[in-house]
Amino acid sequence: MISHPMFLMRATACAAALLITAPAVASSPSAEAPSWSPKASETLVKLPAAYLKKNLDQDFIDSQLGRALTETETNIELKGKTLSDLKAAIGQARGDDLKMELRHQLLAEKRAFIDLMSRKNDMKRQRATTKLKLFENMIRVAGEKNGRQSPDVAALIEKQDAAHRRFAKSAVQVDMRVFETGQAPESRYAAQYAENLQAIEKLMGRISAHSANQAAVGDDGTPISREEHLRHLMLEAQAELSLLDQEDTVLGYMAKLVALDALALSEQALDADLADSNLPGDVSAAKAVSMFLGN
Amino acid sequence: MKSTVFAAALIALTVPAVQAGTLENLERERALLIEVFRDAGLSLAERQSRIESTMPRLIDLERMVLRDDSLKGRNTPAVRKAFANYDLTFLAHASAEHRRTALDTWLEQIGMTTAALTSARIGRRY
Repeated sequence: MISHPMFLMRATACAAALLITAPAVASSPSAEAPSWSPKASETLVKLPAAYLKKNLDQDFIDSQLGRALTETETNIELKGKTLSDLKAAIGQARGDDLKMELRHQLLAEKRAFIDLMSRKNDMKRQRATTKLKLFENMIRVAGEKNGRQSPDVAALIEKQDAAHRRFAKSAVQVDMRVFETGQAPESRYAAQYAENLQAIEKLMGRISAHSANQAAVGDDGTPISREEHLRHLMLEAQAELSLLDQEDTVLGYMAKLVALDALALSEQALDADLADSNLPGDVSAAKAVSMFLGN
Repeated sequence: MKSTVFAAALIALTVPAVQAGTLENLERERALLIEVFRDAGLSLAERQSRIESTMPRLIDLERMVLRDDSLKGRNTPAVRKAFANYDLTFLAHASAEHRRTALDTWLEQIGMTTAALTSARIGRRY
């Protein structure tokens, strides 16, 4: 028999609280919002593509928001264990009072679990939004560096490129011609340039083969440009935001279910209490007639 | 003493340090070469000798210009003009490429070909 008035009050209050908070669970902002401000995008844009994501992740982990998210995830894990323990305890509990008390505790813990999940989603959303803005900014900075050229400058660059191509094709031929005619021995500039070029080529070879300078690769394993890599990262952040929206819907339904469970529990407690109570109006006049007959 | 220092400071302030770029150096050397082409006072041997002595310097200077990254996209009249006609600006390379003399290449670029000269008529321009 459940007749504890304190328990009844708590169950009712819990149900009411859950009903009030259930619709708002997905969008409740945290009181103290930890933040994350990544490094300047000008610095990040210079990093090799493969290191950009790692560097950004490390920057996030070290941030206030990153630490808060890690802490919340640990709390969620612990809360999950508490829920499992409570569920097991309800199965093994003897006596309605204890069972009801444990169910009440389970509902309260479920609510706390949903709150934590909601907070975690808020933080993840903040991270994804920050990343998205950062990548947009990086693409803009990279675009500015590449520069939108005026038609005149574009035409000039085209001519310069054509001149370089022509020079590259004819340089050896010109050297041979000079050698054939025996005009002059190789100049100091030419000799020094060739020597420096060899050194540059060696260094360039080493740089391009360096593990820290490997280009990012696409889904099919082929190397992709920096801008393409940034767009890929933006897509990932956007996908995370979309999934978080969906996860919020799941959490909303979970909260609704907990609220309904709380209502059911409250109703059950009320039923038991009403069964025990001596409510007036149960005795009809007709049933009392016998008391007036016979004397 | 003070006035000398002041004058020096004034000169330093008013006269900007002029440093010729690769393109300016090339243009100077090319102008000297064209002067040799046009010098009517030179004998054939003298002209040939002076052209030959100029060519290695010109080749180096042309390469310096072509390898000069600071000129990339620099939209100034001098740079625009330089890259408008490869054969005329990079005379040494263009002539070696076409297996011609620098003089022939230059004359051709300014429109003085054998055909143009033989078809020319002497007359008065009104």
